[in-house]
Amino acid sequence: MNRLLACAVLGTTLAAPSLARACPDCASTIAARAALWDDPSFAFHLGATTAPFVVLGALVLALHRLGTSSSSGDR
Amino acid sequence: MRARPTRYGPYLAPGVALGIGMGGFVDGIVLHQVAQWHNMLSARIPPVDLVAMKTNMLWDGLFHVFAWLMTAIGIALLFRARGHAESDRDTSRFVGALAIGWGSFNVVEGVLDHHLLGLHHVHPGRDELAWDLGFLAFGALLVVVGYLLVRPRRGVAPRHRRTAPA
Repeated sequence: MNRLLACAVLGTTLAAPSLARACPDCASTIAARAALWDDPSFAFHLGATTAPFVVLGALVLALHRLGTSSSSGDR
Repeated sequence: MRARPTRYGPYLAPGVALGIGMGGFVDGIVLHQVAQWHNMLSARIPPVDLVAMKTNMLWDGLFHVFAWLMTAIGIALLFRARGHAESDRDTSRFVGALAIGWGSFNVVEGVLDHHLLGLHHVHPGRDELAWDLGFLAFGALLVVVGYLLVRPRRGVAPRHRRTAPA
């Protein structure tokens, strides 16, 4: 009986991920995924998402120069 | 030729870069995914259906890509900094650099994405301006606390790496 129960639990555990994987093949999901790239504002969204990191990257570069000087050699 | 550390030390930039990356992950993981207060474009494309939700998920993912890249840059700078003969490997100063990074992330991201571009708000609703300003204030506080920890201290000589006995 215990062995049967263990098999049932194991079977369910193994089957669950494949059931979950079935969803990406649904027509509605495929349509939604395709619609993602039909974004007329894609360039704006990309620029807007990137902008803070560009500004902060420039800050890191400036601090790197502040923290080290490349004008002198090894001591 | 190797760069020589100045009074701020070679660990300032790596600490700030790592702080920016970790600040980005705090925002993305805690506010976008766990609390689900907002998504990257939730003020422009409210996530009210599957396509809108997946669109926001895509841009949340790209936001995480940039946070990851900033973290990777921080690790690379940290790896480079390890070779300096004179290095102030002071824990409090490194924590200060992390705080500056996290705080500057909040300030820059808050000003650009919340206020100028209107991509999303910290906690949309009636008090969204208060939440956005609180986000900025928390960032500014972190920058100030970080600077107090990082600034060169008068009369304190930089630490030197311990050399192996001859």
